[in-house]
Amino acid sequence: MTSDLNPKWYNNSDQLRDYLVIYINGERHEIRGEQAFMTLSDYLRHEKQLTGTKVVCAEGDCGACTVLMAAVKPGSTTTEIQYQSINACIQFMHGLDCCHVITIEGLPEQSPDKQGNQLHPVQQAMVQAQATQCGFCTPGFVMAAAGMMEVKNKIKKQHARNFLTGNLCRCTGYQSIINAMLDIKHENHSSIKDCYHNPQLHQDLLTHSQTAVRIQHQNNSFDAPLDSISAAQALTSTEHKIFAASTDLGVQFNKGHWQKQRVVSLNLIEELHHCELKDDCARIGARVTLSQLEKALCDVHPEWVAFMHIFASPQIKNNGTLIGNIANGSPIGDNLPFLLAMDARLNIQGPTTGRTVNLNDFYQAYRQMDLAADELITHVEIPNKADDCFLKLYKVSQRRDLDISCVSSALMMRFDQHNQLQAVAIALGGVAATAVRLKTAEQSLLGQHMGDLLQPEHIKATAEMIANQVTPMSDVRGSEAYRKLLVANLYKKFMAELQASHEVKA
Amino acid sequence: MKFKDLPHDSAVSHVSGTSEFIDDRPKQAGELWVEVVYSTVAHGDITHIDTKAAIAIEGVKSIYSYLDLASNRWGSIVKDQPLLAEKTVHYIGEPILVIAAVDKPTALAAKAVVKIDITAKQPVLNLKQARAQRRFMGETYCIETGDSAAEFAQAEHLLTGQFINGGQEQFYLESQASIVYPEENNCLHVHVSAQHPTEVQHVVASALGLKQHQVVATVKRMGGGFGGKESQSAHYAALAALVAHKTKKPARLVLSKDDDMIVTGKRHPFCNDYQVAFDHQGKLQALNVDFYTDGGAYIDLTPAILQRAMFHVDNAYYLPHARITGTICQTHTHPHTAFRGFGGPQGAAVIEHIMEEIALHLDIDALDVRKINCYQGNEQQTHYGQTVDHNVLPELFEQIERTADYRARRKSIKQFNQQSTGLIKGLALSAVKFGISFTTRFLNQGNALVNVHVDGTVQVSTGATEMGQGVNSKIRKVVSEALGVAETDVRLMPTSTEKNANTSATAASSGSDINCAAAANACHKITARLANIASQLWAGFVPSDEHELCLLDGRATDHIEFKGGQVINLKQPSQTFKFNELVGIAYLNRISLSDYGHYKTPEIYYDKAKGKGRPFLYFTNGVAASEVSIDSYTGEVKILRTDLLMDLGRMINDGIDHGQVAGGFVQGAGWVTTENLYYSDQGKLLSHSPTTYKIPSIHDTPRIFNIDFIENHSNVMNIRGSKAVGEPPLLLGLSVWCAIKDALRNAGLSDTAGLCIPATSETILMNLSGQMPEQVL
Repeated sequence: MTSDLNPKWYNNSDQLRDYLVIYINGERHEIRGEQAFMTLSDYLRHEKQLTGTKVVCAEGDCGACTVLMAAVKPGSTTTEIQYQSINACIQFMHGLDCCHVITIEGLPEQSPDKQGNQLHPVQQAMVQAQATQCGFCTPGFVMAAAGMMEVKNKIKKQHARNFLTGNLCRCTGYQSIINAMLDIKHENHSSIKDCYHNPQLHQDLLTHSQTAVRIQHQNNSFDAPLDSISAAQALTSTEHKIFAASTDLGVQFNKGHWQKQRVVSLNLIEELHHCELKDDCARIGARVTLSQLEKALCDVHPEWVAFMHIFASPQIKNNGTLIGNIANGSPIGDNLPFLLAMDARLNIQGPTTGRTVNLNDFYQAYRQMDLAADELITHVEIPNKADDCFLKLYKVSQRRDLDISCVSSALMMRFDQHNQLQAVAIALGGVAATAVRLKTAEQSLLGQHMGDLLQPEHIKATAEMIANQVTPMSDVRGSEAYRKLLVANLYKKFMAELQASHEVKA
Repeated sequence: MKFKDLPHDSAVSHVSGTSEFIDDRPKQAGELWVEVVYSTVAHGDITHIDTKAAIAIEGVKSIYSYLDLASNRWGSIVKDQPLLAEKTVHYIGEPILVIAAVDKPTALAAKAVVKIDITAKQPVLNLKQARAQRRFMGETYCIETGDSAAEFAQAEHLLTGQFINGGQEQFYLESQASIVYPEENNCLHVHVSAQHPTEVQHVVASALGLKQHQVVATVKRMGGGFGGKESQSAHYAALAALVAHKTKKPARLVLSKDDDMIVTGKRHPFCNDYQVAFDHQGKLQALNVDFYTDGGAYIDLTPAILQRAMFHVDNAYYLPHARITGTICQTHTHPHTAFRGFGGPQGAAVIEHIMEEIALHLDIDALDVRKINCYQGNEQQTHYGQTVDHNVLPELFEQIERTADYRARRKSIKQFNQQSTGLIKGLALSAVKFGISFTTRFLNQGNALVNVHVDGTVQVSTGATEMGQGVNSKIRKVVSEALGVAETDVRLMPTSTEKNANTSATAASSGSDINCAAAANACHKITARLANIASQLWAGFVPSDEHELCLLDGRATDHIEFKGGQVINLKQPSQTFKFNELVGIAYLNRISLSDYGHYKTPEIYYDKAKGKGRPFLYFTNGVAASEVSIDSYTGEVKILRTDLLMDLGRMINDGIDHGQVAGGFVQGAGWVTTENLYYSDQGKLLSHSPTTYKIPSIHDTPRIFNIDFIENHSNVMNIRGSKAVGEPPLLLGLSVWCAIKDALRNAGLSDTAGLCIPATSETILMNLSGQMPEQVL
């Protein structure tokens, strides 16, 4: 490490905060020292006795801890802030600097009903539809649904399912919950955004977002600089971790696999919150959440956006980032096959200089990548795909939604005017130590005629050839044999869909 | 959907987040956090324990072992299980030590540095190994009817096979949790998330050498139970109680979800051999089933669960000749325990599987096989000798065939499958006839305490515990009807052994039957006294300082009705009292406004040795038709449509029963599809959190989901003519599994006999590709 030679990032800062500013249910909190390193759910339950927020899995997979969060981003010019659901159990307090958190205790009260209960329309609907049984998951559902009401004013069955994907209930079988969502009374309801609208609060958070933060407590440290070079300079040891949203480190912390928090946050770096649609690519900053991407890219990459609908829960997508997914380097990394297939490029920032690498050259071995300890990924550039390319993304898991894949894949083919294969990508996750592109297989297909490729024997032989090029292992998500079979079958499925689409065109 | 009855009595506090669960209780001064150190080895001898480093950590108060317990054996049926392991460990997750520390991080830090040396011994990790080594617990049970051996000898058609079902994690959202408060004179108050406070009280007292009257166990509510808190909550409550008793400080033990899943038992896996004889129409002639279940390391509730599996092997179908045996295998895994259905689903799965196999064998529709075998006409006697009274099964089959449009859909599915390349559809119908009552007779009793206050409002305490199933709301309704007061004037109090002693677990679907009846009995004693004085007052008696109103023998009160907050003389409708007015008079005249009711279920018995009796008061019945699609490239399953039709008699609360049916069905569907318990070859559960263990999500419920009920007023044996609902609908999840089997056949598979439960995507795809690996349980 060269940290001694580099100026410490915070020496460059004129001012530093040693506290976080977080609003909870409209009330201002300055968080210092030990409390900055707590998870939000611990802080709410143990420090504030706000026990309506429950913890079950402590890994962001059940939604019992769902709260709403509105973030004021540095440099934002609008006073409109959006309240979105997140998992409180895997969110650290330091990840909520300059945010407003609404818990179930803070849901705006409505005018009293006949029994004198001042319930939010979601709560009212859930009571009437008998949508609570044991009640342990209920606050999480209420909050996720309240988040849905912030953006939807007529709720259909599919909205209910999509917005509540991240919440598990073991009692109801969900039917009454879905019915409750359809019965929500929207009349005379004022949104959380309106109820809590407060220009002073907004200004307070915005002002603080322009000041860097450094908090230390015992073995823990939290640095939130204002620019990427400072962030790289703050990475002064291999123990330091870049924090985009902590959806993975939060889990590691709760399960006792990661105790010493040496955190470098990207939260206050304005440019990393931006997603730019350029003529030839989309350039996505490290703090751009998956939810933002779903909205921003629905025209440019519709297949991928559709894939993201089943990729994770709203709570994770509202917080988790694409670059977090890339830097995590999971062998499965649901988004990675797509990015590999698209030849995405990473902008990497070091303490003095930056560089760009193709994602296909980035992964080296299991959780090893071409990234020095004092480097961070600031952006990913995803080239726009050609209009005539045929792209399919598949994810196979034990359960379709809210489940880590057994195998994920991105398959792409592009034919010239003579129906010769001009470009091809076969990218897979869950079949090797890293997500991979099968270049040899791709090479062997290039230049072939579509008619030949669609021959059943050809499909069968290619599927087998592809399956033989992967080296999956057996684990809790699936056996080696199953994964190989899936790899072969996903190619077959892709070819069947290619044929169908070709027939439609013809 | 609109319901006639009031919402759940905790609905408002649930949606507001103000319902209090164990870990929501504020931390008291001096309170200690309890962590348990578990075995990481499935089978072995403990050679050395070193706690020096752990105890040296600041804030660690003490570390306890089995030596600190007055009695180290517990068990609901047989006291065979140590609370803390002694010389030998028998499963991964078996508690060995208990750590008490000032807070959770400190306790976890201590746990991390405790050293336990275990010399590993060869474990037996699955049913196959246990059967091969004949590692059995207890006797082999047998139920026999007719002469099946003779029938097999002359059978028209004969099928033999093995049927395997996996376990299932209860996945209650609130993990095992208890807080124990020490009280004066060595007494303890245990607040616990448990279905059986009386057993908690007894196990705690026995473990610590206390008398039962020194321990009070209170259950306000559970964040789900599903059977997982029937017996095993007592184990962990006792470990918390050990800390409170020794340190005289409040002690809190809340398992993490991962620990909870690793250490506690599941629904029992089974591996059964069967032989079935039937005629050319598919009518059963004889059935032999030898059940083998994995009990895990200790007995727990396994004998009763196995027995229920044996009782439910007929499910909805008449068995003229049968020989059913049941044997418990002992393995080095967590002791398996109750889970909604309690062996019933495992029993019914065998015969539903056989129905499908017969249909395939004879190439006829499986619904016709089911209909011809359904209890009907003269064929109403079960293999254990109980007659199916007021049998509605034929009516249920007939109605659902129509309402689910079975025949037409069967045709359109056939057409769909002929044209489709990537998707295959399947359709199947299954039934349930679930016996209601504990099969152990003495458990079928309950008691209730009803306190009427002078303003006319009521507090009720019973032995029933509320785990979301709505038992409190049902008792509230029964009490409100018995006293003629508004439901909102009746409040159900936390269940506590100081008010209701010697209670049974809230289990066997019987919680509301038994406790509603007990509460009604208590109410009737109160209304008898109130009616007695009302009749005197209407007759002109004027109480005064000199003449106190007293209860008089022999007064006729049949004409006095309690309704709508009024006490009414039906003979003289102008004569009424407001309920609270009469209550006030009663109090001033020293007439008791409280009472205690006891109830025992009538007319039930079972002779285990003979395998005959009338173990159930009645049966709850239902049928389901499910349609699924399978992605033939990936094996992924979608439930496209499910129609459920239940017979619940006269429902006490329609919304609650509706929720029980939907929830039970989806739980059953989870068991047969995505819920896969995955163990390492060392016997460690690796699917121990929702990341890897997949209960159904909101996307996994049927796309079209119709729930309906038949009208049935004949169940006069039970309170208000109602029927128990808790467990039966879970068995209808089997319709999904049968539909998957049907889809596989539609995909051209000629042999689906090897399909197990759960039919995961992997299992399905491997079946489709003919690559099915040998199933090991």
